[in-house]
Amino acid sequence: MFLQQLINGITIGSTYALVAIGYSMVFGVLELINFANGAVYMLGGYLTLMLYTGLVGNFGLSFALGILLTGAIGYCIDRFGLRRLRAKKVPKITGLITTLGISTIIENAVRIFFGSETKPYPNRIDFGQITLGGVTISSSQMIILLVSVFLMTITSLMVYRTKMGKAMLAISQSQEASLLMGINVNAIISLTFIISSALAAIAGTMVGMYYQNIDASMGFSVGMKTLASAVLGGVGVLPGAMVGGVLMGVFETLGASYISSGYRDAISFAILIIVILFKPSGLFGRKQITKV
Amino acid sequence: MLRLEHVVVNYGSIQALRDVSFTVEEGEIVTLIGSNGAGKSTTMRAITGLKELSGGKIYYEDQDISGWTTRKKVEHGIILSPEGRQIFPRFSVLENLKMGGYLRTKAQCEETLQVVHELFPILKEREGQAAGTLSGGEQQMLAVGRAMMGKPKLLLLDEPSLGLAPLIVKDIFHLIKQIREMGTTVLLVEQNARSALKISDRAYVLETGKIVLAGTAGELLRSDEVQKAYLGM
Repeated sequence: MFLQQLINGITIGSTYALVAIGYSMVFGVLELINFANGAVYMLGGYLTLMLYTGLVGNFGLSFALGILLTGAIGYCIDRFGLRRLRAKKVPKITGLITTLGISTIIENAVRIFFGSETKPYPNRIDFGQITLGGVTISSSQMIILLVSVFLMTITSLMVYRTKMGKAMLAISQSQEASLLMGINVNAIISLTFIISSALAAIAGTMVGMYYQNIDASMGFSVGMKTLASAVLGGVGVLPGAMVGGVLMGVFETLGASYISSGYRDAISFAILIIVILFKPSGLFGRKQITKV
Repeated sequence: MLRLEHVVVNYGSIQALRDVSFTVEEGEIVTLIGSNGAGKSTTMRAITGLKELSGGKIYYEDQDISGWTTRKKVEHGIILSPEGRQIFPRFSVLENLKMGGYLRTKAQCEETLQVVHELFPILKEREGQAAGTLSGGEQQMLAVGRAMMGKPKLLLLDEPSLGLAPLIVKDIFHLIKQIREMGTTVLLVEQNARSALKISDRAYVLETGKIVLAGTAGELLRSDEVQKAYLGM
């Protein structure tokens, strides 16, 4: 029972991790919490579904196009919503409110175009299940885990091993100094939004398939939970977001099965509060070193 | 090499630069002196494109570069070591230096890295240390070294001696002379007017956004106005 719940928790947690990475990356470069990230996650799931049922007919192709489209929307959020604000050097809170507004727009646009009722979602990664010593693992769970681990690895390598990643890390420390190095700061920030949105779209689609349904409000609750995951791990630190996401999934699954499923969210947030009380910078957060 | 013509820069309704014109010739060390708020750093920011012009033109190697992005200016060898150093505190010393060569190839960076290490041996010793934990003088050397990594033709140094102990200040000015001898043109902004003038060819005095005095370094060192206002004599 415990092992079974643990596996269920890790599966859902790994999708949280993908969304949490997005919060963490954007926060890393801009010190901005992109509240639209949760809505983008939901939108990614819907776009794949829309392309599949309405236009393309091939699920794999729809998924790929859905990821690209969602990435493009991530680009637009930064290009048209935030870049002007940066140029005008407005306080960070203005950008935060903007992303909150964008999140509301996305959520309601989805309601207008797709309706607000829960929609059935096809599961194209269901190839049966295997049972080992009383623990059942479905193919969906395995694929979700593998895809998530693969994406986390790729993203980490990109951020910590490539020149582009170095530029992201540089921008997170000083935007002005980064400009002076010749870094195209706006392009790198746009790219961060594209990557975080694409990751969210993949997570949204996988979760849609896993639960076999999707609804317009799923972005809000998952947005909050994944933001909490990023904070739990230490916001701005990628391994922190990954571990935070997985832990969040495990806590809520174990809490739901051992305590009460009604307290699913309350339990995970209670754990977040406890961790933050004792370690305000999160599990993997760094202490600030600033020297004047 | 560099020519500013009637440059005007505004911050909102405040005019930071009213009408700034001056030139820097290839191979020179030119210093801008002036008190706090005179517009020295704003001039540097305008030259590098961090601050856009509200009027006037900037020419570099006879091209109008007024509208260029900072990146394009860096590509063409105009590189600023900014006021307050602005090193990347969480990067190691070596990572900071490599960032300075962001637009150049790996091989080019390796080559320049050796030169920078010869100029600043301490940066080799401290290679793996997080830059934020260096002392003020070391951070300043890192900021200048990082700027050198981009292989500047025109190196802009904004207050390199600010907040440093007198002995280290001497080192820094000595290094600036060495950098010029390597063929780099230097535009220097300094409050430490005496040390700066001693190593400069020419200088300009900036007051409330305007050039009020110009001349060779020797002339300015002897000028009554400069002696009174900036040399404390």
